[in-house]
Amino acid sequence: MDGSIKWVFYGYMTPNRRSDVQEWFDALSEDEKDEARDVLAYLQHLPRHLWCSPAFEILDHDISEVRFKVNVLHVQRVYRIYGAFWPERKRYSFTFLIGKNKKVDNDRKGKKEAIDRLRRLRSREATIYEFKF
Amino acid sequence: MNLNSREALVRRLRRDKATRQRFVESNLAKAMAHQLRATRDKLGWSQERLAREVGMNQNAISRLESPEYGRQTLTTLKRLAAAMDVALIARFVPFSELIDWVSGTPRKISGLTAAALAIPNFESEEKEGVFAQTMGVGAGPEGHLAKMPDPLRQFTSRRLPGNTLNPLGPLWTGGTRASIALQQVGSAGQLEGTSRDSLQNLCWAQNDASVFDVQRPQ
Repeated sequence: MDGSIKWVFYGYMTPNRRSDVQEWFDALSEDEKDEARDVLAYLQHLPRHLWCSPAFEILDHDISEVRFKVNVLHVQRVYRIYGAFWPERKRYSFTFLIGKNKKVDNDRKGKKEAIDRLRRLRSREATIYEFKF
Repeated sequence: MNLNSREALVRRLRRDKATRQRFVESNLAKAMAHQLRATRDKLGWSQERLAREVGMNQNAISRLESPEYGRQTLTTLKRLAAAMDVALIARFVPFSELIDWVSGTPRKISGLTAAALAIPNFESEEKEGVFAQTMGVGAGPEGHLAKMPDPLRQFTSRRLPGNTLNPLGPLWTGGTRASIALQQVGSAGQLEGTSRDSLQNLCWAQNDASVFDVQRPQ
């Protein structure tokens, strides 16, 4: 394994300069943010083929999701960050498209939004910024 | 971007004992699972092959490779280590060591010493000021500068273009400045005309003023 792997995480910025995935993350509790950071801290140093379930899933239309779980008052809550390996020209870069508190097994609405956001990035309608943890 | 800077980790662990416990559990579970998967991958083994070598079934290996599992027993870990022909270290460590490991900060390991057997707990390390150095508590940039060797002090007390305070100064922690400096510079690679490589050399030469002077930007 390449010892120098270090992924850079970006956040989606809407055409009207809103970074709602960042806002979503910033609004999480400290425990939730801690778990997200812990999950991503390990993925950050792994090659792409070792990004695996349950922390990571490849979805359709070039999007994927990072998942993390947190116990809140003895109830396990699942969170998902839809993202994509973007910008494609950068080898170790992943862009968070949208963050969701998982309430349904098949979040069609969230996935659709993520696919649309990736399309906007590809067509240069939207931009990215380096995500702040 | 730094997911797990020393500063952020110290701030997190200072919250309370329960947070520290969760941090240990979270990292133990994730490190074991990811190490197992990555090491198996490096060997070119499938889960089935590893299962055969250890005498388990494939489902058990799959479970052990899940970062959410976190219930590996020491006996199982020893069997896995033996099967993959790697060593296994299971020992208590001070939180400062775990912070260094998670943040990717190089740390001098003293080996088997009396200090390594009687571990200071978080409170003891806090009293000793181990974390205060990282956070700059009670010292401030000038205080940190005062603790630095002369050549590095001269370097870090200089200002970046545009009067930006040199990021090395306030973050310096004895013995680990190489890593922290490089984290700050990151892939941008420039610090007052100094390339990442020369900064690396400069930092690793921390005890050698002559090498430092050669690398120092003019």
